[in-house]
Amino acid sequence: MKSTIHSRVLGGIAAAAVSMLILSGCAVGGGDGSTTLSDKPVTISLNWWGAAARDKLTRTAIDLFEKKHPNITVKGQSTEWAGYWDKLATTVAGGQAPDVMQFDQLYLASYAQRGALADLDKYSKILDTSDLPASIRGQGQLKDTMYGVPIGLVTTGIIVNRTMLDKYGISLPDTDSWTWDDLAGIAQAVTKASGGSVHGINPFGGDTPSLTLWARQYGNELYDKSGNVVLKESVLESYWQYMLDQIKSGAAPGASQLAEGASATIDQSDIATGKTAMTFQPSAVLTAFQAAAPDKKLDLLPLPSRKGAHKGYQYLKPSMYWTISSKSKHPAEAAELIDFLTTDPEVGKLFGTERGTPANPAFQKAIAPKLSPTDVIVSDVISKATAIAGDAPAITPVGAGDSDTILGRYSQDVQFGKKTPKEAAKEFIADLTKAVKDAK
Amino acid sequence: MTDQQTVSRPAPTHPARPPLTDEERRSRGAAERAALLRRQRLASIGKHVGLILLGLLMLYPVLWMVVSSLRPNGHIFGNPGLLLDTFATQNYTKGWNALAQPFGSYLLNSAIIVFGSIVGNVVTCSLAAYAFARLRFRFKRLSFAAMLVTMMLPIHVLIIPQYVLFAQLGWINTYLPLIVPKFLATDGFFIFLMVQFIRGIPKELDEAARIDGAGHLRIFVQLMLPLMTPALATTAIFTFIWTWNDFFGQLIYVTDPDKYTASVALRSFVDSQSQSDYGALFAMSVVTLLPVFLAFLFGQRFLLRGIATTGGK
Amino acid sequence: MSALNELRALKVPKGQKGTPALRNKSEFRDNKAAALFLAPWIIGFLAITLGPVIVSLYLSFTDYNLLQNPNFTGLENAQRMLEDPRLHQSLGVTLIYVVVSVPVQLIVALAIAVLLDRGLRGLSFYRSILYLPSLLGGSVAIAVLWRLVFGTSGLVNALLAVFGITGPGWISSPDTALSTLIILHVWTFGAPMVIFLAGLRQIPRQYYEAASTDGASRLRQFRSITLPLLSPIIFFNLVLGIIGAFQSFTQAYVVSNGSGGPSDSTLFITLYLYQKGFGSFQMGYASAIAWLLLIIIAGATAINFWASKYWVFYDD
Repeated sequence: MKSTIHSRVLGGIAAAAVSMLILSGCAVGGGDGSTTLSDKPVTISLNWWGAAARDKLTRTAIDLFEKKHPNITVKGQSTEWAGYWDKLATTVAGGQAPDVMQFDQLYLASYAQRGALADLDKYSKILDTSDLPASIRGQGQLKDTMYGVPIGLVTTGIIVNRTMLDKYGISLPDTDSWTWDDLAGIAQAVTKASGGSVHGINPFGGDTPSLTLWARQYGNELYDKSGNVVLKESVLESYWQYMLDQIKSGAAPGASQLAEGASATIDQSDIATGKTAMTFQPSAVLTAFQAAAPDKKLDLLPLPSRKGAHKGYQYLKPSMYWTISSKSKHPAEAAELIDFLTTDPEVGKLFGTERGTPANPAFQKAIAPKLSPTDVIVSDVISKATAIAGDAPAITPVGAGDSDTILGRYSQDVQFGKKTPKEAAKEFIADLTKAVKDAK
Repeated sequence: MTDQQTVSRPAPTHPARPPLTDEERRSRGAAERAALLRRQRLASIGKHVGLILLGLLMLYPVLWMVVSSLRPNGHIFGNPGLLLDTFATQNYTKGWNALAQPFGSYLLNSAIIVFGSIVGNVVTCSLAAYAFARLRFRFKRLSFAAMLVTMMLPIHVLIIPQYVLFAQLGWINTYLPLIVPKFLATDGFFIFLMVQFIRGIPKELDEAARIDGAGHLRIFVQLMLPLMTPALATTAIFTFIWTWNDFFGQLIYVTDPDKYTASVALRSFVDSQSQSDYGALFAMSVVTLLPVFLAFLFGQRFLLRGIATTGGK
Repeated sequence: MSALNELRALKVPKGQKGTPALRNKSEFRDNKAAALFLAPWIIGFLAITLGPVIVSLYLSFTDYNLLQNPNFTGLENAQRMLEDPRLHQSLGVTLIYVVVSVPVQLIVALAIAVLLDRGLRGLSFYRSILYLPSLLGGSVAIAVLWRLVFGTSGLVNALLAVFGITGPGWISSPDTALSTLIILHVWTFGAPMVIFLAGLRQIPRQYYEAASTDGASRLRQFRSITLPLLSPIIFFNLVLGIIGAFQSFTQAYVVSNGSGGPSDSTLFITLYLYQKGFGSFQMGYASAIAWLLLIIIAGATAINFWASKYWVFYDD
């Protein structure tokens, strides 16, 4: 008797617990906020990732916004990268998403397609994105619906330690039209000239942006517009073969040192500590690298290409986006805040290039006179890339949010000789295809 | 295994010889004492040398952290040495003021959570431990097993249901999700720890008290708690350190930056995607470490008070 | 000496433990008192602990992706676990880690605790120093330092170079990365050491003095007094050490930047389920892995409790 009561109580608790979770899950997707601004006092939240420098700038921008909109209070919150995504997943799952969220391309589709992000076209009267070039704006869309406003732009380039090249008397060809062979030659020359104490380059291999550019030079892509994996095995094999050749020729350090570099911070990276002369990086981090290596003169070069490379392989990738939660109670005010952050001239000057070269052309112009020397280098590379850029690639589909992690893992397997480029290419594409299919 | 014989028949079952009193000890032969002393001194020197070497090995990372916090940014990496050629205190002033609030307010927030957690854990876990160790009741084995099993699930699959639960209670952005569970004895580690300690206390002590007519509450408060001082001190110290260093829970439940704790605020100095300030990070890491170290230094005195000392009074 | 003398006076021959009056009462004589003492725990268990545990069990049979309602998928997750090579890899890594690091850490902790127990000048100083590494936890500073020490051109290799040995990149080579994490774990022996110390303090000194006068050697004293009397605490540290090591996360996360690399050589099972749950939004599958882990830990703990009958001595 007693034990049946006992089990009934337990069963009740279980049912309540499960339904509690499902209830809160149901709430995701139903945006019921108004599309017009309210006159009443409103509080919205704004979340971003970044370190202390970004924190200070964003808080100043919030103060400016609150001054212009006395009835809106903005609660800002910043977290570092890894903690940001853990916390975001938890709060969104718990139905407590912040109103405005900084987003990365990797996760945009994952959250948008599952109904966590608001359709920004609904607020187009408040949030004006018409200044953005179409190819940039398109990278904030999923199936023709706008979910994220691009904030900054990056392109993958090569950071080079000029001081080291000068020391060994190595000069660069015209890097606007250089080839992969040129790059390999220079890298080998550095290793040779130093007697092996330093290496020429940390090759790519574990980041999807460089793979995307490599593939586009072959007229190939990672994903098509409907989010299917279309990367060719032969293309990925050649990408890893190039990496492996660099290691074998001594142009790049061995697998173990590369693995160390893969998980090192910018300040402990081989470039900052002077162990290699060149590395593949997104353009936006040049400033951080230069700050970490104050005694070296760093430069940024565009990616080499191959003979007969597909025209228009270049593209600019939004470094991050602003998005609105589909559950926001005040989406109009949230949209107003994003509009302010992406179009107000004062904000443009305030932010500078801290979130990458601004996507808004008006911002680019506004900050041009006050750029630091590293910013000038970056904006140069960006404008050259813009000039030759083709159509933007499709954004990372749902289920491929951890594609960089998987790519990095296979890349290490190739470096350590556990898999040949061909085997790894086959397995990676199979893995990715399955992950994307499972998530649909 | 022949060892088992000796192991399972431990010393306390042959208390034939009464312990030596101080007078007896003093009356020992002088020569015997001198030889003993010499041997002890040699052994003691050996011990010290070993411990100092070991201590250096253990101390090195902390010393390195302190030294690094006094190096200017850009000189921290690639320098595993401990010698300081510059003495740059600007990391401290900069780090203290780098965030929305002075760093001290984050330390205070951490302290509030730590204080609540210690009180909660010490009181409720010791109560539960007494019940598991000394009382006979229905479902004892089942509930003890249930307590252990709940410790075996990794936090990452529990955090979302827990978050939903606390969100429904309206506790997000308060310290309640971090403190209230401690008042409900949810930390099985400490319950189990104290169960083991109580089981090490001779049962005859409380049975005697029971014959004298003492109730369980009185036995617990007047007899057990004083005897359990080392276990209570261990619980308090560990709760302090683990709560102070905890990151995930504090990150998830606290949203208002003014309510951030020290461990969450520390991470604001470094971000893998943008420019980081390692000097400030190291400086504030040292500042954050200091209270825990002091807590340990102070708290460990209570570890020494066991039966051995209370019995001597 | 009052308490101990009392103790001795009370000692009754084995087999006659307790007075008849006490023995005759029901097996559940303390139900009411227990309800009182356990009230906070019962409330906490039912209100806070149990719900999420049941939810996670339910989710392990679903395709929950954090953002949409879970769909019940039956044994699909279990099926998938059978065929998932990375899960098998992570199980292997975790098992090696538990089997090696737990006993080594406990032996080191016990040896040092005994050494530090009494009769040494500056005891509290040493204790604090030896505890320091455990205070640091998963601090970012430690991750940075660890690379300086165990990196390709780190301290350890600089030291080895003196002897003409070229060391590998300890944390970046798949062959040595796990061993490095085990060293890191052993290095933080502070917590079990403190618990041992507290336990040693509970052993009445008089036993040692009595044994000393009987002419028992130090080693013998350790074996016949310290070990049996400390056995409940050793047991505690062993059980909790195993539970903790199976759930190790922070160290591997911090050192490998969350990847479990190089080449999955430090892919702890918790790291893998974290990657699945939070990285790939497969919380249903992550919950299933978590329950597999629970079953493994519960099995190990059950064996421990069963074996404890043969070596753990309780005075009740």
